[in-house]
Amino acid sequence: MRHQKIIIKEQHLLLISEKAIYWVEEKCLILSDTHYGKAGTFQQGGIPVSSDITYHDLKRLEKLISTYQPTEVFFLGDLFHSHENTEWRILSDWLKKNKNVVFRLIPGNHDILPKELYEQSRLLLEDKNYIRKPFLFTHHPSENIHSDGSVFSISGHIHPGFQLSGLGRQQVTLPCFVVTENSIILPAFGRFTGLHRIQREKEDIFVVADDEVIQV
Amino acid sequence: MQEYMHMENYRKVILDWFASRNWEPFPYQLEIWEKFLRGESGILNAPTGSGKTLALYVPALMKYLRDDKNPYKEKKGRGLRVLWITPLRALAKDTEQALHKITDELKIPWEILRRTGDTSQSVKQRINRKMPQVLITTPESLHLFLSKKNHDVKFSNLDTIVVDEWHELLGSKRGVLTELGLSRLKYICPKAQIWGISATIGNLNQAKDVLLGSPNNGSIIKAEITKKLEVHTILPKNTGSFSWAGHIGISLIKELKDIIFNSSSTLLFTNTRAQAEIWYQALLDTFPDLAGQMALHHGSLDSDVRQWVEDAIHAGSLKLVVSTSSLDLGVDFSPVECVIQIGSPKGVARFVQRAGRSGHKPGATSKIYFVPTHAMELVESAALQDAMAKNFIEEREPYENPLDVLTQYVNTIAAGDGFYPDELKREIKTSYTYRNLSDEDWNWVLQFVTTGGKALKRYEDYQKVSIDDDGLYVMTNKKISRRHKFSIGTIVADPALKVRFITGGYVGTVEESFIAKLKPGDTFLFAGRWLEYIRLKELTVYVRKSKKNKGLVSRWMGGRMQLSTHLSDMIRKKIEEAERDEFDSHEMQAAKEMLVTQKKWSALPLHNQMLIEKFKTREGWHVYFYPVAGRMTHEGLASLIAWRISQIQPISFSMAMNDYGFELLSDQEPPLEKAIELGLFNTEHLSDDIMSSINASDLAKRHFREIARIAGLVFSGFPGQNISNKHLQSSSELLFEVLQEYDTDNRLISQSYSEAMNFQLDEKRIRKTLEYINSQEIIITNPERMTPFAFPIMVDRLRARLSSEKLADRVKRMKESLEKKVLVTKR
Repeated sequence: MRHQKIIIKEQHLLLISEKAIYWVEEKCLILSDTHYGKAGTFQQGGIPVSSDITYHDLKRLEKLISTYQPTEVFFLGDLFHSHENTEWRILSDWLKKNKNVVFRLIPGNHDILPKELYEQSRLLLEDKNYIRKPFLFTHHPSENIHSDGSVFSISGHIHPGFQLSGLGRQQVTLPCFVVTENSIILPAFGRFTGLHRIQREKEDIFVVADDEVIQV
Repeated sequence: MQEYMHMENYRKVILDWFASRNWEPFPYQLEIWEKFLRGESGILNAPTGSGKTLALYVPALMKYLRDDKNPYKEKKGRGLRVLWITPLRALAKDTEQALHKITDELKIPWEILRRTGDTSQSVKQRINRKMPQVLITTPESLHLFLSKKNHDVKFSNLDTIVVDEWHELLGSKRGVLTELGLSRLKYICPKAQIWGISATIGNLNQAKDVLLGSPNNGSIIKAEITKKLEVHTILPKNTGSFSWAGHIGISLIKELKDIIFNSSSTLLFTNTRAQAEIWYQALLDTFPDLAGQMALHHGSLDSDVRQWVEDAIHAGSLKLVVSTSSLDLGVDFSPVECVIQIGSPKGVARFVQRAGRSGHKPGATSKIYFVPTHAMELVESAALQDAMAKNFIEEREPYENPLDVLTQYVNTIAAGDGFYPDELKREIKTSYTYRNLSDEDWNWVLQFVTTGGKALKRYEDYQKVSIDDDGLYVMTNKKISRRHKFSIGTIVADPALKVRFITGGYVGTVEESFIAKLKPGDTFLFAGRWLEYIRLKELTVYVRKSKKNKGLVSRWMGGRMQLSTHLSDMIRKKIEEAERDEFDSHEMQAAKEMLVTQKKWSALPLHNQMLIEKFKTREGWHVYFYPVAGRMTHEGLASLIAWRISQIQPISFSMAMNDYGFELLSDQEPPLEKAIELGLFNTEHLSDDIMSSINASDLAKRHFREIARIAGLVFSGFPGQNISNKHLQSSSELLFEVLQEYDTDNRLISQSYSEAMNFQLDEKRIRKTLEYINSQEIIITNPERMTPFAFPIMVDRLRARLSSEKLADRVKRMKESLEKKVLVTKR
């Protein structure tokens, strides 16, 4: 696991190759679009994809926690893929085990479980626009808040991927962090998530290749 | 006369009907009738327009007239007697009309209906309530029947099954679907006779075995109707002016004037859709008189437009139609008088089939004009005609044991009445494809549809097929079963963007990679029109007509045919003849200048020689190999050879190939002689070496797209209501990755790899080619400049590069070409 350090509004953010951000000053681990439970949803629909993915994704999160020792974890939406299934129990058991960490969910369009389930779990359900100065955390990258330039937003939703091409028709699309003057979009954390190819305009792009983060 | 008097009535009726129209049955028809009446099954080898439909429908009628006590009386409960399976909906319509005619004229009270994808809801319901006596359908619609409860009752009276255009189905997964459907029908109605109709292919015997299952004692009957075929090659006035490379062939357009204007209706075939667009435009520019009498037909156009064009050809109202393989098959185009083929058809069978689209009337001669696009195609044309004279024709290789189609079928039966595994397995194993189905594969499929995979792998929420107390496997979940029925079939459409006018109106589809190259305001040629790109929104490309007539031509990936083995053999012979100074045809005469130059600058290889050319230019060191084994084979061979050389010393190559040979280019001198000494063309460890030399998982991923869709892992949604299934959507690439990672013994993943090996890379052909090279003498020349053989390979656009670097390294290298600085902090 490696990372790239960037400084924004005098805050140190580590863009980690496990597709998460560590915010040094606040000891926060930030991740988005985990889509836990997606394998189970597929199983219910008659498509056998193993729930091992969820176990594995939780292990990755565990490793992030043990490496960076955050006191809080922010999930920027799409924490759980769809309706309740067996994997919800796996997730809430896991949250219980990690008592030393505060988990906050800034809800996204996939977070459609009944409120009680969130309340029964160790998750703190936050507003869709969650502010922790100097940042605004949301699921959807929101454009209108940016106009006055005073707010810096950190979000997910898009599952950004960036295509690189080399000599001889080599092409590869990799998950990436998209950094602009007033926003960061995170890559999707979940293994069972796809990529949405983005076109670069003025952004800084940091792709995740194997266990490295590389600015391109 | 004596004989005629004593003839059984059921024969007399038929012969009278023939006589009333002044027809006489062909000898092959009489032969098939006798065999049929004796209860036999088999294959009829007959071209279109030779009376093949009557050849098989008539004996079914005779059998009915013979066996039914009161055949002319309307009676309930006769049930389905004749099932007619056809690969094309358009063909279904034609067949229905033909069968109706004779049935009605003989006053036989049979109902004849058609059940295909575009049958109306009311007819579908009518068929569901009561089967007609004759049903014309597609393999997919047959499987839909099998996915319903009590389908065995519907087929219990069936006594004749005809599979039309079997050569077309054979060698595709739709053929496998047909085989599986037949395996079920054979079980429900063991007495039913099965007949296939096939054009000439190299492996008719195998085609019969695949249709009937093996062992069988079916017969092959050949319609001895030889159609006259004339081939003319269009040559430029000045034969020395032929270019060494190229693929459009427009320069000869003026020579086509007389051909087009002297025949009432002409089909012009190109090899790619882009080429069809270019030719259509060029023809309009060169012969403005054709406006309004000419049309364009290819697979990416709106289906209404295509239908309109087909109807217009049928009616004889078009002078010229520019088309791709989209018109290879299909309804009878009697008005077509001649066919023009642009560029090499790459195979004898395809050439003959295309030629056969003209001169449909009995006794008429099929005429085909071949327009070579570069000098080597002259040699190809000569080789093609030699092959035709010798009656060489390619084979269609059937699929072996594809588990995706089997998975779909198991779900289909589970969605209906359900099944007991042992019984179903016995049925399935009567098919040719699954004759060697192993217990491991079968059990894997059963496990896959019931538990999702290995028990340890956690599929707690999985449900698809469940096993009841009785041991019956059934699909109980209504939603899942409905979704399955919607996905029956093996035709997987390319992911494509729709093209619409901003004012409304659908034009067709283009590929995303093409649109990615355009900016709003750019003009591109599509559907024979110049269109201005306005915007892309939700998978739809909005356009308006452009006033400009310059821009990009729409391009589509794939679909490139490679030279068939037969044809490459003949080409090697032609090159040897040229070496001996024999130029026996106009085509070879026209190619003479190029061939002589090749001989002067390098060499013309004899049949038992393989030529390698090695030389240096400013670009670097070039090595050209000429196995003449076809583009795809060369693609695999080039990677393999490059990889093997790089094992001797670190070196990277860029590669290019065409049907005749391939090029390896590098910035340092490759140790070629040493590599040959060390066994560069060995066949030992071939599979392993191929796997190491190519990015196998990328290739397999491409094949998995179709496999995932067939096996029901990717659901494309119900028409018009995709939203409710949104949470079940995933790209096949992503599924491939997670399955490969989390379900290591998933056999659909292994199937993707083996399809990539067998079909994409064609390991067998690579092996055969290497064996052949090993039996040849290798000659290496060092020409001073690019030879006529090398030149077209060099200009080929397709450039691939051997890469064995790790992903992060590759990314860094690609990044370097983006010219930015790397800053990686390590923790």
